[in-house]
Amino acid sequence: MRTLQILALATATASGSFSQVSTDRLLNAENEPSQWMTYSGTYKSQRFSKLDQINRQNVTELELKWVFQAESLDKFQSTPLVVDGVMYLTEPPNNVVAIDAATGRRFWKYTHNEPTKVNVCCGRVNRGLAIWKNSLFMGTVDGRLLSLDAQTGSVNWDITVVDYLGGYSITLAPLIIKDKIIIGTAGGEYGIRGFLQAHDVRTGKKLWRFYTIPGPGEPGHETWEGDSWKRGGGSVWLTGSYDPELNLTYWGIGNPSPDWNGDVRKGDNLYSDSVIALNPDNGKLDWYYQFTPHDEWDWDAVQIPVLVDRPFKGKQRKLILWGNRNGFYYVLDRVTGEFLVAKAFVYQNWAKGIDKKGRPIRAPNQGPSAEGTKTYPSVQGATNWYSPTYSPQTGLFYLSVWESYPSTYYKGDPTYTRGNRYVGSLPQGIYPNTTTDTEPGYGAVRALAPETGELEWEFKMAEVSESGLMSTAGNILFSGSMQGQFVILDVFNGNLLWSMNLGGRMTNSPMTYQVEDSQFVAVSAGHSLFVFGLKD
Amino acid sequence: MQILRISLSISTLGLVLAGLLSLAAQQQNPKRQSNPFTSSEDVVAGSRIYRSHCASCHGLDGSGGGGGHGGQGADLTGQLRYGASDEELYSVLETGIPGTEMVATFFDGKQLWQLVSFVRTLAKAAQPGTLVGNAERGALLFAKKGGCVQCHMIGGKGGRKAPPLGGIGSSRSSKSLKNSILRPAEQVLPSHWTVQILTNRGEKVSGQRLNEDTFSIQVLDSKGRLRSLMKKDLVSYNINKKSAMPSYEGILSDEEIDDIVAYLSSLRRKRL
Repeated sequence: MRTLQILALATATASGSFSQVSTDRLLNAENEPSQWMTYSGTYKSQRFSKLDQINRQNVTELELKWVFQAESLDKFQSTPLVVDGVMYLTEPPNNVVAIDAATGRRFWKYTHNEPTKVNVCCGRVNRGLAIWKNSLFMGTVDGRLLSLDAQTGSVNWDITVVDYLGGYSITLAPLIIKDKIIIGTAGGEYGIRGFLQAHDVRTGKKLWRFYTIPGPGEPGHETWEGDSWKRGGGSVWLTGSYDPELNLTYWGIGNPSPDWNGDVRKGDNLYSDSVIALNPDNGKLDWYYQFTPHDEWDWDAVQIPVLVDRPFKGKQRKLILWGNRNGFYYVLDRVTGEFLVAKAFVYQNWAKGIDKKGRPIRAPNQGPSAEGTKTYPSVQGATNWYSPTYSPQTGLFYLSVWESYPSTYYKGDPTYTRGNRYVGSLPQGIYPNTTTDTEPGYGAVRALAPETGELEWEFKMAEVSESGLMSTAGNILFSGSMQGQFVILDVFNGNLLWSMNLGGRMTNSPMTYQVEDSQFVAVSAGHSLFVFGLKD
Repeated sequence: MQILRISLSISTLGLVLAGLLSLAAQQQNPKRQSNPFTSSEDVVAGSRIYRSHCASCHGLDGSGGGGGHGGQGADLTGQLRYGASDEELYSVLETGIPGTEMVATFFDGKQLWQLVSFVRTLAKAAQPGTLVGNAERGALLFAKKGGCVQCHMIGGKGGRKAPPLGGIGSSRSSKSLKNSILRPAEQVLPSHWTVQILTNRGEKVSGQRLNEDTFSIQVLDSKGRLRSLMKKDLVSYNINKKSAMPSYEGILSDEEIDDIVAYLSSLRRKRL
């Protein structure tokens, strides 16, 4: 085994491994499509790759190249990184492996020592790593931030960011901006006070913290009644985006706490359910836009901020495209945060619409109640954290949707105990293919016209999906389903080009890379990562 | 736990003092003994915790499938797979179930015992009182007058038109079983839906719809064969979500139905 590893390392060295991931490489990731160096591929987070070896014409020639089987039963939500032929991957929740990206053979494994009990609402998960020079960075479910040596897996430093016993955890992939690691904290169901934080890439030293729930004297604090801000939630559990020209980084913020009883936190509850634009140098807020003021349904704005430069009503603009969990698609100006467009992309009944200023017009009596209120969309949302994609070649925005799924939202007494759930009652969801499934709901991949949110096409599925999407210059789009069907669609019309049953729930987002002359596509299903390429 | 260890180590100070410390330990972290918090007030306190922390996955009445946050929790109204004893249930509530979405909690010992007390009431609430029927008479009714065996299989005997019922007493409460006999159409699990299919080759297939995804459908057909069909090869497929079972209200007497319920409740999975 040792000999094999040495051979593999030698091969990797020969093919150019161990080169450093500089700031310039991260800034220009679009022009290095062979690599996948950040969670969403590039700072724009379009999850679009310029690779086109696998394309509409030859996609039926795909074959399975190798499989990585996780030694864990936790959900596999991680997007791998690939740099110069080496794949870096978190094994749920917080082990890390380095793999030969062409063959799947392992170079090293870091095993994380974590407590037997941690505070996570929805599984002990991790969504991935960040890389800078020869260091990998990972947040952990027990509130730590680690730097690992990319060549050996040894620990450079290991710091405690936050006390996990207070309901905090770190599940997102960090984002590197210049010499800083940006991370945020999960725990929106545990009465936390959320924050984004920057650390020095070399030492781990904390450089700034931005609280997503403003404290006394800060703008937005007035949107919280009494002391409710202290346990206001506002988690950050999905990686943001970055515009180097504007020097702004964009992040989606989670639900207010307690989730389903807003009586104890009257007001808009900023910056919950918002997108915020921060200066990464100092963590200062530049602008914000709140999608769901005073959310009572748990509709985190924890989606990927997709940055697009394109014409809007005849004028070239810097935009953010956003399919929100609340059922509306939004277009914002990312220079100023100006609201431009909103349109429902699924059936919803909580809002009569969005007014000209971008504020939702709430439908009466759709909030949680003691006897239960049936509201669309469900607690899982019209979409969720699953990555959308934008193809510059089609000019379309694609997302995974749950159409016509409601929840019955109940309101109850919110009682806070440190480290336990603080949710104020519960939603009762109606899931496909379970219990009394009388709803006509379904899952789908949808393509929207970015300027208007109008539906261009739909790929309808028998079951809903928790898989993200990826599009490529090969004019194909990748997705998957709860039941493990890995699908490849035509980006122009949604026609199915290829599919394979991978046999397990797909809960990450596809990614692609190239080693030497071969393009690969990686996607997880169940507890494994499956890697495909064209037949030799 | 720290206090417990101290109480064990100070025996030299005398039994009285040790006893006092031990009592204090039980109140702070009263684990590893029978449930000391079973009063009606404790059950109410446990119900509050349940509603905020458990019901989103396990349902308000404990019948499972709450669906909150991606969770589709187990039915707590029957025999629990994890938590046969109160102490085992306490451990599950404290540490979760590895590899599942059943998370650990950080409640103190008293709260955990109160939660145990409430969870136990879910199964009791699902019972129509003590079982009044006679299981032996129920077995005969099941096989003969009721005709149940024509469609339901138990222990390798019976039909395949309806769900097999071996071990059903472990997963369904007697209240739920009685409801299914009186009102079978009220809840039909998707794996028990029926389907009628016409293939491109003109073949007609009907049977139990076992599973389905975007591209295929899996069926136990009327001839007892397991079939997996690609949707692209089908002209049509129509799913019937209604139950083919008639209501036995008026067909069997109340006493006879109670007998069948008692029989089905006696059918338990073997515990390892």
